[in-house]
Amino acid sequence: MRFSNFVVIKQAVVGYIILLLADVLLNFGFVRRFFRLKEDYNQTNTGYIISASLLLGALFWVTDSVLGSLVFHAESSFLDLLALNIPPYEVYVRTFVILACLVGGLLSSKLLRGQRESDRALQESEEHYRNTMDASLAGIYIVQDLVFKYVNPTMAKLHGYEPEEIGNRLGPLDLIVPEQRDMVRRNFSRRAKGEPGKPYEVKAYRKDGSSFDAMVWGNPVTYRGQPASVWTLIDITERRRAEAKLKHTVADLERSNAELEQFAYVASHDLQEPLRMVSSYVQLLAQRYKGQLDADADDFIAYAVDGANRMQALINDLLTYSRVGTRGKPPEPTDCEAVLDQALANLQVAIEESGAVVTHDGLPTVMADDSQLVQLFQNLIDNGIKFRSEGPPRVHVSAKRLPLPQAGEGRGGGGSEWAFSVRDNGIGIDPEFFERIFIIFQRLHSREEHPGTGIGLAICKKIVERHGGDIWVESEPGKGSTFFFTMRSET
Amino acid sequence: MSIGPIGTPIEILLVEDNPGDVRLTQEALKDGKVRNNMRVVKDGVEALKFLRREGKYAGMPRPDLILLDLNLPKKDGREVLAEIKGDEVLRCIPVVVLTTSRAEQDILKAYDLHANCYITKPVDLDQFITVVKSIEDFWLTIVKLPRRKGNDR
Repeated sequence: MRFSNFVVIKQAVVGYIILLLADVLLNFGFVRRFFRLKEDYNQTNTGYIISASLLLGALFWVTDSVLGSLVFHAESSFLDLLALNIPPYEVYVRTFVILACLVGGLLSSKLLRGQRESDRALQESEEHYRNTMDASLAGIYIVQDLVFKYVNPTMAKLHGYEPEEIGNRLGPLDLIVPEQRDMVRRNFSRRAKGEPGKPYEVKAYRKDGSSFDAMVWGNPVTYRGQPASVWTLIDITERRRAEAKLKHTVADLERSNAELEQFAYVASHDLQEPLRMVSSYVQLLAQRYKGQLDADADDFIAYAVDGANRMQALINDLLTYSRVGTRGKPPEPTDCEAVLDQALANLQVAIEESGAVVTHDGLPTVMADDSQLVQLFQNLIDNGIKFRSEGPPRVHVSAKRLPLPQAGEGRGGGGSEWAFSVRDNGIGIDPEFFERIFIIFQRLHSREEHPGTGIGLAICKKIVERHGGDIWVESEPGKGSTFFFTMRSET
Repeated sequence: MSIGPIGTPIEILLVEDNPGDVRLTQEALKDGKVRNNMRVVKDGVEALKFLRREGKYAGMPRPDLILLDLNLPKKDGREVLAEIKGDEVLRCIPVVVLTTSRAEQDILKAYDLHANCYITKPVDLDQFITVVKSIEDFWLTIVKLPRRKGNDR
């Protein structure tokens, strides 16, 4: 081999070995610190390798020359001499040595980098979990042999301590009220043994001596190779307080309802009696003094009696209206077809007298108070019959499923709704009055034109709203009316 | 078919505090089919005294039929009903509860206390008269009342 070619190859090989060495060395902490690299340096940066290599190269050249002059007493470098004057077998040895350095360098570099990366991944993972635990709203703690092994800041804060104060001086049992300590101790040992458990309530102490209600849940875990348990704790004082308040409010409401019911009953009862006196005696007058009184007197008597009768109807209707609230039952799955049948049975006489035809599409099952639903259908259909135009009244009842309401809308709860419609071919309603007709005792016609107290639709509205639905009307004068209302579906 | 010896008028006790209703009932029974004597007491305490023939009621006959209003002063109609039906001797007398209340709980309570029947007083005069006459028809002519044995207890 010509001398110059060999030298080039030799220099290239040496250069590569030096690069590898530099890479290997940069895996070591003290080397990195020498080059002022950050601890989290995680990529072989060409710049640093080159500078490291240059340094090493210089070091090598010096060593080579020194060795050459010292060992061989010559003026060329050690490697040059080795290369130029080697007996054949030594070529192989030296080639082997060079190859071994190459491979060794590659391997150790990979190994060291792998080690560094897994160290780094582990550290990142630990940091990740530590951040999570520190940021948790719940208290998190690890207990082993009735001693705190780890307490997150929230846990300390919930008990009114700084994070450093807990753990060393206090044990978990110290933070529990005395009467619960046995139970808690048993639970710690159960969890440590690997028995799973459910969340349960405890009364815990704060630093200032006050106590609060908490819910805790423990799971078995291994800590430093030994069985332990890891727990989460949340403060439920607020929740308990809200529950108590709710119970109070419900009790108040029930009492208020009972009072209202009592009032309505007594009022209607005691109002009826004087009414009867007025009505009966005026009629008795009319009968007893028939012929002795003039036509005017007859008129007067008729008005008086009519007034009394209407008053009685009003009182009864008022009672019915108030009972929608006080006597309502909780909603249950109710078959609307059966409800409609019942309503039609109740309206039998009115239907026959007017020659009305009532039709319907298939009706679903909804969540409702069945007797109130009957009342609702009955009132709407009755109106369709009452407020008729010339031909026989035709009333049609149908239902359509509505899409699910968007999350966050008022009515709450999942499930879909049904929109019912009761369509008639009666006299229709002027849009101006669409709202007014649902008001109690509001009428649009005189009593001669159409009978009734004007409470039917008010009752309908109260029933629908009690079930969480809406009621409205679409109509044109002379073109019939369609009443719509919504009800929650069975699901 | 009237009870007792032919021609003896039926004794009716009306327990009612409202003089207006008393008068109405009297007017309604005036032209009735069956001869009857209607006696009136104004409250529950008097009613029981009458039935037990105490004090000023010593010589009074036992009624064949009692018309009882529920809402009475002093002793409430329901209590009177309970006492009548709890008394061995008095409980065989039919009691017609005649009252303003249409409330279901009153109806149920009355039957629970063994009222023989429960009627709501109508507002309309004609209806009221019809009702009273129906009571007369039913209880005094169609129905068989227990035999009153003279003046014994």
